[in-house]
Amino acid sequence: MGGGAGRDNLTCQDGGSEAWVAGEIEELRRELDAWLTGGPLETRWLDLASALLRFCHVHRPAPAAWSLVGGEPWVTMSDLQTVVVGRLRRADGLADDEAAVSSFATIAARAALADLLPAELDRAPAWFGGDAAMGAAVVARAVAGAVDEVYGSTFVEHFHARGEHRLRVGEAYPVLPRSPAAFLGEHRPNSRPSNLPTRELTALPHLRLALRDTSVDYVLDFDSWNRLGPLGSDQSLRIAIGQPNLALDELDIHRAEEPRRYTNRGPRAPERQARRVARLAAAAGEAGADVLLLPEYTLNDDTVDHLRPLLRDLRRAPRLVVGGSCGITESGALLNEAWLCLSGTWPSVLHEVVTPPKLSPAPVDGYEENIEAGSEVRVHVGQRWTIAVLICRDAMNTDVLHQLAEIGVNLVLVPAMTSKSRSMTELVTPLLASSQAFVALVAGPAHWVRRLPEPAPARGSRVEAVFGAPYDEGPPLVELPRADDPATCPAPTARGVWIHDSAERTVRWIETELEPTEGHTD
Amino acid sequence: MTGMTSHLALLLDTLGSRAREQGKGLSDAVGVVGDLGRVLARGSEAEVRDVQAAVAALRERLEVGEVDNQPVKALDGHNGHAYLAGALWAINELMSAQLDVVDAARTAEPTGTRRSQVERVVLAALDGTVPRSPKDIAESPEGAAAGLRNDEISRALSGLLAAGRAEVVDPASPDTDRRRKYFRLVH
Repeated sequence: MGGGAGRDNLTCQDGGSEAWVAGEIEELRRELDAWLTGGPLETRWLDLASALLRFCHVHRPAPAAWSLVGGEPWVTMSDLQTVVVGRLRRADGLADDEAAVSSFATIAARAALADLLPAELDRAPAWFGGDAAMGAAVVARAVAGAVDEVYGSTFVEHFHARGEHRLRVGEAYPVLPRSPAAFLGEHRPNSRPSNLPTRELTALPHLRLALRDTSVDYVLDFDSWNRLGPLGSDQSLRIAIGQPNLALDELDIHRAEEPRRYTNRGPRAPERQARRVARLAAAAGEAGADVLLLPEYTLNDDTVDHLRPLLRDLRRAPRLVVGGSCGITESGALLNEAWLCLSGTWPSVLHEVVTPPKLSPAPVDGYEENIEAGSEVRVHVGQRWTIAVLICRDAMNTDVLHQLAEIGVNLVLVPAMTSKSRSMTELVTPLLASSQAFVALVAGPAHWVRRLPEPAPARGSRVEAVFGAPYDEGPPLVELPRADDPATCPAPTARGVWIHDSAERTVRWIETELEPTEGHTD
Repeated sequence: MTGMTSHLALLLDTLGSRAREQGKGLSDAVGVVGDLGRVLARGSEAEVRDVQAAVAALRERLEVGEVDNQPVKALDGHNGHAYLAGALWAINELMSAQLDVVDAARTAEPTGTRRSQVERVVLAALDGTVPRSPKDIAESPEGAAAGLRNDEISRALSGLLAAGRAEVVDPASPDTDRRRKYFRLVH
C-alpha cells in the first residue's frame, strides 16, 4: 500500500505545528499493507474484517475520547464507510445492493483500497483534535464496515465448513443477519436493532469479536445447517407445543432429605410416554407444524428408544422435535439435556442431537435438582435459523440471553418444568427485540400437582405455553392456556398441542385421543 | 461482476499450484467453491461458461492418488468415498448459494419506491455548484422533508460512486470541517 510505512511521527495536516506520535496509525497501515500484499488466496475479506475488529478492540479509544460534539466520531466513520463501499463496488462492478461474488479480494478491489486509504490514514490523526487513536479506530471501523457491507455475506461459509466454531475471547465469530419478515405474513416485523451510535467498535452485521470471558462456553454448531433449511419454508413458522403429561406423578421423581435434593428420571412408563409423544408429533405434523416443543424431562433413553420407530412411521412429522431429556453419565450422575430430532426429506431418516446439559440445577420447593451441571451452550446454525435450546432455568440466565442476542439467535426453544413459567417468560421476551427472535416455551406438566385430584381443576391459571414472534404491532407474546378462550383452553385432563402460526398469527389447540387403556394419569 | 471470471480463474490456478505442493492445506477451496456457487447463481451465461472451463481445467490437472482423475475410475478406486464426499460437499455449497439468492429475493424490502425517492433527493442535493456531505443532505429541507435516514443516504451515495455518477471532492470552503466527505455529481 502507500508509501507512508515506517514513519513514527505525522504532522498535523491542517497547518498546525503540533506533531503527534501516531503509533496506532502506523500499526493500522502495516496491518492493511500486510493484507493487501498477500497472494490471491491470502486476501480473504473475512481475514481483513477480523483483523480490523481486533485492531479496534486493542486500540479502542479511551472513554474520555468519546466526548465529542456534532455526532462525532460516527459521522466521520459513516462518511468514510460510504466512500469505501462506493469504491469497492465500483472496482468489482457491483451494482447498488448487488451481493458480492468472491470471498477473496480481486486485484481491482485491492487497488481501490490502496489508492484511497493512505491519504485517509495521513489525515486521520488530525480529525479529532490530535487523538490519533480515535482517528485510527475510525478508519479501521469504517473499512471493516464497508467490507462487511459488500462482502459480509461470504463470511459464514468459512465457519460453516469447519463444522463448529467455539467462541474465544479476541476471535471473530459469524453473525447471520436475517429478516423475520418472510415468516410473518402480512404483519410487519419489529425494528432491527438499529445502528444507533455505540462505543462498541467490534461488531458488524456479519461478524463480531468475542469479548466476554465467561464461565459458559458458546459453540456455534453448523452440523445441522442444511437439515434446518426447510423450517418455515412455506413462508410461515408453525411451532407446536405439546403437553404430554398432566401431573408430576407421571414422572419418576424422588426426593431425598440429606441433602435435600430431588431426582427426576423422566417418564415412569417410557413406552406409554413414547406413544403419547408420537401422537402429539402426528397431530402437529398433520397440522403443518415445523417444530414440536415438549417440556423438560419428557424423555429418557428408554422413551427415545420407543419413540424413534414411531416417529419414522409417521406420515407427516414436524421437521424438528425438541424435548427435555435426561441421560446418565458413566458415574451414574444425572444429566438434564434436550433431545433434538430432525427428520429429513424421508421421514425414516432421523438426525438426532443431544444438547449439552443444563447449566445450573433448579431449586423446587426447597429441594435442589440432582444433576451434573453443564458448562456449554450449543447454538445450532442453519441457513435461515440460528437456534438455541435453553433448558428451564437456563432461560433465566441474563448473561446467556445477552450473548445469544449478540450471536443473532432467531429461534429460542425452552423446554421447562416449573411452577414459575411467567417469570421465565419475562426474561426471554427481550430476545424478540434484541435479535428479532421467535420464542417458544413450554412448562410441564399441565397441572403443578403431584397427583390430580378428582375432579381435576380447570386449566388457565398457570402459563403452560408461550409463543413469541418479532411483530411490530400488537402483543408479540401469547401465553396459554387462556381461561377466557375455549379454543385454546383445554379440558382439565386433555393432552394435546397448541400450534402457533406466525404468518396467520393464530393459535389453536388440537387434542390427541386417549388410548383405550389409558387413564388420565399413570 | 466486472473481471470476476478472470479473478476466479486466478483463484483456481493458485489453488492448483498449491495442490501440487506437498504438505500444503487446501482448505481455501472452501471459499473458492463458495465463489463458484455465487457466480453460478448470479452470473451471466457467458460468465458461467468461462468459469466452468476454468473449473474443468483445474479438475483435470489434479492428481487423486493411484487412480486416474476420471469420475468413474476415481469413485471406484481406493479414495472413492472421499471423492464422492467432496463432490457432494461442493454440490451442497452450490445449492446453498442458489438458496441464498432465493432467500434474499424473498426478504428484500419492497422499497423500490422509497429507494427512488431517496435517490431523487440525493441527486437533487448534489446537483449544484457546492459539494455536499451526507449530513448536509440529511439536514437539507428536502432531506428533512423526506425523512431520510443516514443509512439511506449512505447507500444512495455509495451507489452513485459505484456507478461513477458522483465523486468525492474537497469542500468548497477552507473553513469547512475537513473530516467530512463531500460529494458532487459527475457531469
